[in-house]
Amino acid sequence: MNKRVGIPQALFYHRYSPAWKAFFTELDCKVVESGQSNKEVIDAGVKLAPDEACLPVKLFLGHVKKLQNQVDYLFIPRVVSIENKEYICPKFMGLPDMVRYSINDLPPIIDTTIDLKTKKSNLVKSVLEVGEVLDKGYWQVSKACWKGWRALKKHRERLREAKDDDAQYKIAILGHEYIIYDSHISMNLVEKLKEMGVEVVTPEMLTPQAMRVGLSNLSKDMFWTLGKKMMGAAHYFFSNQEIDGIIQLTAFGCGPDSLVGEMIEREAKKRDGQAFMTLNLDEHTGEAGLVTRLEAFVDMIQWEGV
Amino acid sequence: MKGYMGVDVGSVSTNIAIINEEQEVIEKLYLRTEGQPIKAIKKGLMEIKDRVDCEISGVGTTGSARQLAGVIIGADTVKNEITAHAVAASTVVPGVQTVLEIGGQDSKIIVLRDGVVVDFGMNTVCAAGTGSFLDQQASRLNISIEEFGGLALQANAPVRIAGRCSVFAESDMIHKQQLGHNVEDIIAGLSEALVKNYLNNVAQGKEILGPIVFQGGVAANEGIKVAFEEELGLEVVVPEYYDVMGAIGSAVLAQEAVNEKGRTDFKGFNTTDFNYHASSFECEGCPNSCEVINIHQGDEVIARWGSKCPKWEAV
Repeated sequence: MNKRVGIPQALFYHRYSPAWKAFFTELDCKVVESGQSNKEVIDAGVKLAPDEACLPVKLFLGHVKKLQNQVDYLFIPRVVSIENKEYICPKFMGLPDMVRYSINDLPPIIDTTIDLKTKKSNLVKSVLEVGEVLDKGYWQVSKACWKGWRALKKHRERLREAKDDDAQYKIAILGHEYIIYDSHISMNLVEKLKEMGVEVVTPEMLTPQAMRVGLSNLSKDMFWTLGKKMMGAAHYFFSNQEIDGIIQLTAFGCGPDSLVGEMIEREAKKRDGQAFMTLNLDEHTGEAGLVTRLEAFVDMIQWEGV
Repeated sequence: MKGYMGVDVGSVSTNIAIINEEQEVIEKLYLRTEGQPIKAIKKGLMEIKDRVDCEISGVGTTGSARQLAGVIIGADTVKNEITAHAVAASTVVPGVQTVLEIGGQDSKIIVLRDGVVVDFGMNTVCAAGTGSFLDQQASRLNISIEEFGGLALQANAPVRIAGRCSVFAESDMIHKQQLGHNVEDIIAGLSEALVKNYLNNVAQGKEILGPIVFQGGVAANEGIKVAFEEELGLEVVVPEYYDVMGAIGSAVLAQEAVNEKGRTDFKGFNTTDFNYHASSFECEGCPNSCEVINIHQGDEVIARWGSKCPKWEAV
């Protein structure tokens, strides 16, 4: 029987899921996803998580809990770095440990370390490690890895191609993909904007070239990959005349966000012509408050356009 | 004569304003919502009906119960309160550059330049309840809310009070009172604390330029107005109809909407003859457990909201 590998549908799932799914499928595994976040998942996460965990980590724990009795393995990589000389938020590094100590009686966790800080080829070591756990040979793992990479590339291309020609306005959303693309914590923000006749652009939709253009505005290199990406995207959006407004989504309890968010906000203040708003989300955020702010934001853009 | 009606149903007050075609206010009404928005809307409509003898050509609703009010009255436009307040301020005080609005539950700042909103801010959860907090404190001190603000002006040495959180503010106030400070100084201290908190929280990083308009229920509080002026070093204007500005803005928006549509959806004042009530249930279709609300007119369900998916959308 095929082994069932569970992938919690949170955090980096929203960035790498096409690759992960293709990879494990190629290794003759049955991928089990935890499904979209919902109230039950978030409530479970809040109960399990240590006090100081940020909202996305709390949510992650909820997803793990949901998969607990449905799978043979849980895939929770220890992501240290995904770019040369850069780091990911420390909570990602400690994620497998945090999960182990918060939830009892878990199936074995595949917690391969992914550390590409010194060289990208370290990834080979990581995927072979996964292969070892699942008892798969070198060639099969290499092929799976390649398939995963292809799937991810295709997924990103599709994201970039998405366009809405009927939309009246274009609004960029700045924020981690695990917030923007989680329709429960973002309270369906993207859909809500679409219903208001707005085309939504996210940092994921930017081409590497666009990102480089944005990053060239930074006065100093930043060593947090996620923060850097946000800054780069922000600068690109600032200089893009087609973008009518920018909404920054931050998660309650996110350390890097509190700093990077502030830096972006200050930068936004220096510029005219684009509306800017920050929304901080937590598990108590009321939908009515969000709708009021969104409506007012779109009104503001509309009003300026008249 | 033609009139346009704006209805602002907030957490603490329900306000109605009627304007004529020149956008002048011909009638206004300020009622307490008392936790029962449907009742307040009906009561407000019945009262205002007897006061005006003009034909209502358009209706707009705003405030946190704008949707509810919209279906009961038959609104031509249902707008968020930020937009409504901005529209009202720029109608009443042309050239306004900053709007400070403090209501019962929410407070906001709206920045306008050349008659156009360019930025706004709203309280996070923590700064909420400014108006209702003042209400609470007034009743704790057994002072009517109308006199409350005026007392601050008689203070000689305002005390320092932590305004960051209303729970701490209250314990600070009690502490000072037990030490023997007089009520005037405590109230003045509270006004200063609330203003500082507003400026650091809601208005954080916003460019505040004159003319400044201060509106919303709390603008009745003379002490807060003066505290704003002292803190900002600028004159703060409280417009004549400060307490119903949301309703005025909503009426102006209704006029625009009707001009565009060419008709009104207003159900008429007879809408108060019907019996409206709400019922709610928890949907068990998925783990989201949405709390769905039905709005009934008589036996008929006329609107429904609260669900995350379209399952309950059809009425």
